[in-house]
Amino acid sequence: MNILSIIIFLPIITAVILFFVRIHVNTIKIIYMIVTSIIALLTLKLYINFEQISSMQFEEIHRWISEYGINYHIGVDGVSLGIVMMNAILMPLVAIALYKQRDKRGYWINLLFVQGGIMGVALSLDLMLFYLFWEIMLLPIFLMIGFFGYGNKNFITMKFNIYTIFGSLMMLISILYIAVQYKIQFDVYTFELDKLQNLILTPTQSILVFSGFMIAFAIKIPIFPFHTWLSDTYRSAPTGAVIVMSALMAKLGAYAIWRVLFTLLDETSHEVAHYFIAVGLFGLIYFGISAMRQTHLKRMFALSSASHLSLVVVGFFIYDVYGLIGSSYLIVAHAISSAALFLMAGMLYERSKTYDIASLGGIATVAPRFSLFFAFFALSIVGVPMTAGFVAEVLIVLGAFNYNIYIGFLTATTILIAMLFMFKMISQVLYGKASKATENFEDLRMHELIALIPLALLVLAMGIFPNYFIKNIEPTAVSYTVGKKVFHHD
Amino acid sequence: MLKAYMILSIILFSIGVIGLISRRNIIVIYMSIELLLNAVNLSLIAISGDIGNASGHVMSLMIIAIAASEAALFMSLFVVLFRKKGSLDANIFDILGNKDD
Amino acid sequence: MTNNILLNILLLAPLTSALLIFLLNISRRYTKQTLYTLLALSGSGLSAMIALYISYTSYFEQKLFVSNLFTWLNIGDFTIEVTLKADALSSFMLLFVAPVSFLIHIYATGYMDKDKSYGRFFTYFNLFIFFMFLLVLADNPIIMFVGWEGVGLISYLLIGFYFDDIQNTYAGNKAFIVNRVGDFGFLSALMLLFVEIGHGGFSYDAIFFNLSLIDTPMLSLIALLLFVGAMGKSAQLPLFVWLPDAMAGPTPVSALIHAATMVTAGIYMVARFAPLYNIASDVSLFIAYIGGLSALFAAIVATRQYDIKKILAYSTISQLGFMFMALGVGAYSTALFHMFTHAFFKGLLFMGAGAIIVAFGHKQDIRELRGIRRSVPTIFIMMLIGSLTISAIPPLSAFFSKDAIMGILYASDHLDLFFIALLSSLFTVFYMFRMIFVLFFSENTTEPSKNSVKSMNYPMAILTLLSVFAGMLNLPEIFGGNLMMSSWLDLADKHFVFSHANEIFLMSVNTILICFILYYAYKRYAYKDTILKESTTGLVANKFYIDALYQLIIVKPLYALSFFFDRKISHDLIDTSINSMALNYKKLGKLFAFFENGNVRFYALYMLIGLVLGFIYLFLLLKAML
Repeated sequence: MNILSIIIFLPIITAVILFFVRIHVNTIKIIYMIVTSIIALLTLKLYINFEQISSMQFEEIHRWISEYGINYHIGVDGVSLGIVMMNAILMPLVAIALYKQRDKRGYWINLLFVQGGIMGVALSLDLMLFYLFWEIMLLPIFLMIGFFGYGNKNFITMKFNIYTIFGSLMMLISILYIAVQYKIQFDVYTFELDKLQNLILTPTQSILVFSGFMIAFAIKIPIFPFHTWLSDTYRSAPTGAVIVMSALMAKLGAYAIWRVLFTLLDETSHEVAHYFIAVGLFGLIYFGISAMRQTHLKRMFALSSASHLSLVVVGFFIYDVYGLIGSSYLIVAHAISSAALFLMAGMLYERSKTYDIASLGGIATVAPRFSLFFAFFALSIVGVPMTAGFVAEVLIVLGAFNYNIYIGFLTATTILIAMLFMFKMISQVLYGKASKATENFEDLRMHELIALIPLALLVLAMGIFPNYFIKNIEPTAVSYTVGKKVFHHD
Repeated sequence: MLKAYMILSIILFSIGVIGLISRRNIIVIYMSIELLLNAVNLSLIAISGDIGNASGHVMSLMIIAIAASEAALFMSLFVVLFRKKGSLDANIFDILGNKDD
Repeated sequence: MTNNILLNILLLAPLTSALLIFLLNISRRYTKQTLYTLLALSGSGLSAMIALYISYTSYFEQKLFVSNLFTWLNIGDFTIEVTLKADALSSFMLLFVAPVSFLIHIYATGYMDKDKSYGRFFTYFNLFIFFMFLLVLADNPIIMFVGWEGVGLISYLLIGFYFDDIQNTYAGNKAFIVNRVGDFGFLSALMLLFVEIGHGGFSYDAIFFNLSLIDTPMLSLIALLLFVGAMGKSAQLPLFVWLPDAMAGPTPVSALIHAATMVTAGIYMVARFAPLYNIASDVSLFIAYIGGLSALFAAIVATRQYDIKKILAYSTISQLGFMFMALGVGAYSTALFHMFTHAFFKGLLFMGAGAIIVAFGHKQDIRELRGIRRSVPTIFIMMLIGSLTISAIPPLSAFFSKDAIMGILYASDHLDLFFIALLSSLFTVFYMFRMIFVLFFSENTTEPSKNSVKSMNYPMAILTLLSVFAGMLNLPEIFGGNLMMSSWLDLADKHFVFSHANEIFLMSVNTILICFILYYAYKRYAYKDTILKESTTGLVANKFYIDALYQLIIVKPLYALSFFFDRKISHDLIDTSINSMALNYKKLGKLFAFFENGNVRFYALYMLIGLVLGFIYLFLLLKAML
């Protein structure tokens, strides 16, 4: 069996078996750790064996529903590699950090399940398979918020779900439509991405198909104005689900733009690029400014994530090799930092029983290690040099200036936006006098340190030696830009 | 001649339908249903007589037999319904509807 | 690939000691303070020695040190190597950055003595030296930008060092945010530069080689944006607001970061890009005027400050303004020379201020620190020498550097700039001696709470000597020198014709005016209570309301906008309309629920209606067919 299939199905199958077997939650945690560690080791092997070329690697293809040309087709290239690695690294670390907090079987089973789903989305090369995994990864999150969330969780999880399913249905319609068009033109059904590329659509058709896909992705990312589910959902979701949503699922939305739209509808993507650059830039600034007045820590982080993901969208649609690489790098960099920050927000809540920024304070005095890591990850979101975010932002800004000087200036505001809220938040949460909520704040425990130190080291390594990581993305990014129409307005 | 039978049948059927819709007493509703059945029977017999085919007669005899057994069922239902709610007002029996708002 | 081990050690020694101190500190084991001191001093001391050796060799043998560490990024044309290169300019920067850092390290061991965050302080401090070296030694502007942002980050951390008081951390936030506004310009400029000529390589040499390929408006834009970066880092109008607030940090920080080294990075950057600024002469002139305005503005504001450190902070802005004036008219090495002497005397003044603050139980208001001459005589002497130096009294070092600037401004046909400079320099004398006379010459006396620490006095003494004699390095011809430093740096200076008679005349007029102001300050403040009678309201005392203005036109609108976006648009407009969509479905459902009332009689009615409609349809169909 192919290594990629193991990566996808080991967690899913384990989760399904665990669902039917009634065993103690501690055993489940151990099984979870074993499975995610195996996945992490496998992806490490994948990373080592990965060749720095632009084509798909480790491909596997089986007939599935041959009558309609639906295949089981998976493979990995430079862009999906980043997401796969992130998923594999984050899942066990998150578990280590949350080890003592969650004693519900469903929590762990759902996390396992969602890991497989995310791997599936990142690796599938057949649109039907892609759609299937896209829906599969939604289900565990729905359950997790519903069962283990906070506040008005039922309403919020329903809203989130209906919102996302609405988008997915639009995508399904688009998928079916292009499959039928392919049948008309080539007399055979297929859902293979590389075959569907040959399809010739009229401009109207391609715009419609593009919109169908884009609605699904825009809701998942989210980009303005599809963002209103975001802050409430992040606020209500339990830590594990928030990490999965912000660090992985949102990134998949951005990744899918590249994987699906840039492959299938290359010309249309070029034509509408400037709208999405505009929407992305607006979102970058809009979410950043919206975050300024938030008093709830997780809501602030949610908007901060949205702001950065808008930047990712800008980087993609600039269609420049620097923009593409920068955005894929930012996807990974932001995944690590935001996962760590949401994890620490969870720890903060567990210790102080509040997410309210104003009632926190003085943590630096009582818990220096916690503050160190918290400040580090917050600053890495801001993109200080020697962290991964800095490299990514420089590349995106460079791509933007290559595209157009005004777009360049607007994109460069990214180095200002995150500061607007991050620094005040750091001051209010970490500094000053200890408040009632933080008087007995416990410093990081050993297992939490074990979870956070690798993340911090990774952020630093990606910031100091970016070339080593970017070498894997570069061939793929170049293959998407070379020989294609290059925009250059001056 | 057929025309007169058919008109009578339509009149009977209409009376039955109107009774079914407008009356609230379940017994009266039952009577209206019987009217409907008999209107159909009448038309069946008239048509079968007209075209000289006996199957219409067979069908109507069948319907009469079933209506008789139905009557027995209805009578027992009346008793059960009356015991449950103490009334035979049709508006009381609306548990099919959406009552949770 | 060249690899110079000395340069590597120079850069990595502070980083290593910072990491070691950090690990010791975070492990929460009890560590003796001596160990921290040893680590911190060995890191900075080693690099200071190497730095002196490198500048020595660079000066006498014109040797170029290069070290190629690794490839940072390599995408298409975008190749960024982490290369260290100590050319004349970098060696010159090392010449004062490294020793001054080392001296202030020694001073800080005394200042921070028995502080509970001793380890943390030296982690930041050594890390700062690392970033500063990176900034100075980088061979290409991207790596320089990494160092540039790095020193800003450390500055942020050190301003908010005493984080128990949240106001200190807000001052740090302000510093970082304002700096980043400058960095926005810097980064944009670098990116534009890359877009224009990046395909030919991005090291300084390559950039200057290809400069002619850029058309003039774009070049001016790049030059302007680069200067925006310098404006932020070197606290010039209108981005100066962070520097006075930055005085919330411990005094060694103010001495090292906010006086001697980091704030001069802007000067270094403009001098580094001298070939570019020589072409973009309109931007250069703009720089000169911004510098002049900042110099004058800060000098005026300083005359109404009472916090000893804030007076010095405004003085720093003012002196940096002088340097930018010189840069703007194209006298790069003159500006650098003033930066060189400034590092010594301003470092000295800050250290003196710190010694006073420590000795008098953390009082900083000069109105509460009166007549302390007898209790701290050594500090008095050193502060006096420092103040005389900054006032440009011959033959102290700043006399040579500042007079060189004045002379060049005079010769450069920008007489307005010259008069601005003259006026600022007179204000400088006034506010410095206002401080000196209030502090040391008064009948009231304040008693010290603590004796001065020796480890604080030695570095001050060395800096005093340096402030007195550093002027010898670039002695003008008129005094028998040969401008050694300028010829060493060999920058693209513009040369101005300037007769010796004029030069002597200028110097004497200047000195006479300074002495007059000195006498006036003595009359006004010494042994008098004038300082207590000064009004604390009015334009000058409120710093021309610039902070309030920023609050009004930037901060408040941003928050209003945040409210508008988050509440009005996201919530009221978008979310409500989406929720109302769901709500309308519910209403529609209620309508149908009304029909589905569970009453079978009604169902029969609907059936009937359906039937009737069906029949009507059939009837019409039949009729049409027939």
